[in-house]
Amino acid sequence: MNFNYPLEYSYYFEPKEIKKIKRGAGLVFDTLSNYGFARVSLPFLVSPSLVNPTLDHYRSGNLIKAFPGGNRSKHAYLSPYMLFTQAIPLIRLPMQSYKNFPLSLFTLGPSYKRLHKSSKNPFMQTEEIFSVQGGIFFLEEPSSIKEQNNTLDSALSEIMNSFESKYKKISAKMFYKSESVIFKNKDETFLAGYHFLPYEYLSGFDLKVKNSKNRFVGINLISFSISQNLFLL
Amino acid sequence: MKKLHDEKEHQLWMDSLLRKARILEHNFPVKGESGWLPYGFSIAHDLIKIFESSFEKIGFSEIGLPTFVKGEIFLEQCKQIKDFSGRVYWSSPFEKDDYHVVKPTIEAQISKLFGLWTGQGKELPYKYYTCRSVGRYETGRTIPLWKERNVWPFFEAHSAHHNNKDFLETINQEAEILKTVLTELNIPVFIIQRPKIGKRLKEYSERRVEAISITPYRGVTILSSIYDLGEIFSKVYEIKSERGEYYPMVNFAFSGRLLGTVFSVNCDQFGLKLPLCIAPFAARITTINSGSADQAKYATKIKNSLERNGITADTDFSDQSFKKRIDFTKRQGIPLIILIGKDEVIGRKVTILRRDTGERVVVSEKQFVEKTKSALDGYHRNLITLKEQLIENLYTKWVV
Repeated sequence: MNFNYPLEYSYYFEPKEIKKIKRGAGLVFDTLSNYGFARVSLPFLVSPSLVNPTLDHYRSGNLIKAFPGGNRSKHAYLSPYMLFTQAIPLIRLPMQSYKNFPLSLFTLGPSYKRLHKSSKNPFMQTEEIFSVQGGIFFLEEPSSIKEQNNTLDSALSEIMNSFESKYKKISAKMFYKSESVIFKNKDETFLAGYHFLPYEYLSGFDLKVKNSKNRFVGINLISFSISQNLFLL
Repeated sequence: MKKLHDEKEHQLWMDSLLRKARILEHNFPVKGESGWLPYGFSIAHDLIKIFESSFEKIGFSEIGLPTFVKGEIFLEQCKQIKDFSGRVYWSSPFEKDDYHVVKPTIEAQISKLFGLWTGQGKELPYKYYTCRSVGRYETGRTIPLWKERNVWPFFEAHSAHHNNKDFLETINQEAEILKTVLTELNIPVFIIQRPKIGKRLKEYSERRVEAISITPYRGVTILSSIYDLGEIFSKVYEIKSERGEYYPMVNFAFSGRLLGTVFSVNCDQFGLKLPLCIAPFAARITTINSGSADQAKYATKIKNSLERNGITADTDFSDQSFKKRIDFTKRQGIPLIILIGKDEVIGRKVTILRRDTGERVVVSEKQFVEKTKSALDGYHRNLITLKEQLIENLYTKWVV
């Protein structure tokens, strides 16, 4: 990360760093692909309607707004980390069928989180230019939380091992009664994490689909993110 | 056959096709935004890799730039060159009342960085590219791929040169890249230097070289621009030598509009006909009877054989009807459909169906790799012929 950049609290990546990041990201993509994840590209400007239902998930001050043409009476959010809200419109498509689930997606792109204190710590930045974010969307019924959890846990553990990082795994109850699992480096740098969000918590998004018996069932989400910190190790 | 020469009709049909072919979904709660589904992402990614590789061959490297541009840096461009401050997204990412612009284009952002480098004595030339999403506050009607607020892919290459020879050579090299790649993409294209026809053109650049195409509905579209920025931006952002000589710069860009044109030119009433260079799969192997384990097993063997011979392939064993599976594959524009049914399993044959002509040929298992390669070659040449017919049609039938 090169901080010799004409903007405080910001950085850019030089070509040799990009090559390193892309090599690392390539390993991640191959592993995710082997576990059934497909890569997509999603907008980084996110509607408030996709974030507001989960505002207790974040401190609202952590979110960054973008004002169209400078007009402060309307705004979009810059895509926040960890919840994969950008993908929800794809899940709500009229043509979506229960047969398409579990639906496992990931994207490589920026993620944003405002830091209340500026920091020159390279691993604490308002923006991650290369963040992998993804999730497994799966039906409430038949419930397979454990199976999906295991899939993601195996994928992320395999990724951590392939980087030969001396990581540690921490479980914490952070969001809505469910556990978050976080992978950190030995120096406490965040590398990756995931957490389960049940339909009940996501009900503000109206995530439902008709099952084989033509009855509406809800959709759960296990959301994950892999930080660019991993690629820079 | 559906007439595709009416622009509005064509656009509506294309929007629907891109959705049904699981390429692009633009039903997002923010106006002017699209999500690229896995198949569509693969097409776009292949296109990006072609350009990345082409630019690296002429000495460019990829740079990773942050999202935010300091407001005053951006406004220098607006005040002195061209004001589009009302068409970008503003943000306060660090403190409550700071003001920054969300990346709209690369010029101001990278020019300021270049100015810093020349001041520090870093040696030229500087040749960098990036491919990312950018934000544009477009008003009025937005159209997927053509006019969006969240633009992806947005590929930009920006360079600063230490002498005129290198500067002119880069413009020519970039034009050559456009000519080569757009020909591979099977688009009718003219690469021309636009004459100066107004003051506005002079303000932004000294001249521009543009790749222009014509769509089947007779829309003239600019696919990509190479701007000779001369010293215009260098003077604003102090990109100069110790002796005070300003370094000339070049800017190149293309966006999803290029893919929009590829799709519009290479399609028929059934769907897309993707050029081989960006088709995620050269062939899709489909069983005639869904649920048949024998057919699925043989189809998998065929797929593996194709892949061992360098031909990308996937399979479709879904439980949808045979007709639906064929229709979907045609919509997606996959060059060949390989059919495996009871006869094929028993006779150790395959049936190859060409997407472009509908021609079917039955070949033995021993010959099928060679016949597949031959079919792909025929497909590629036929797409070129169809493009030439389109150009002929546009030249000679002015009123339809």
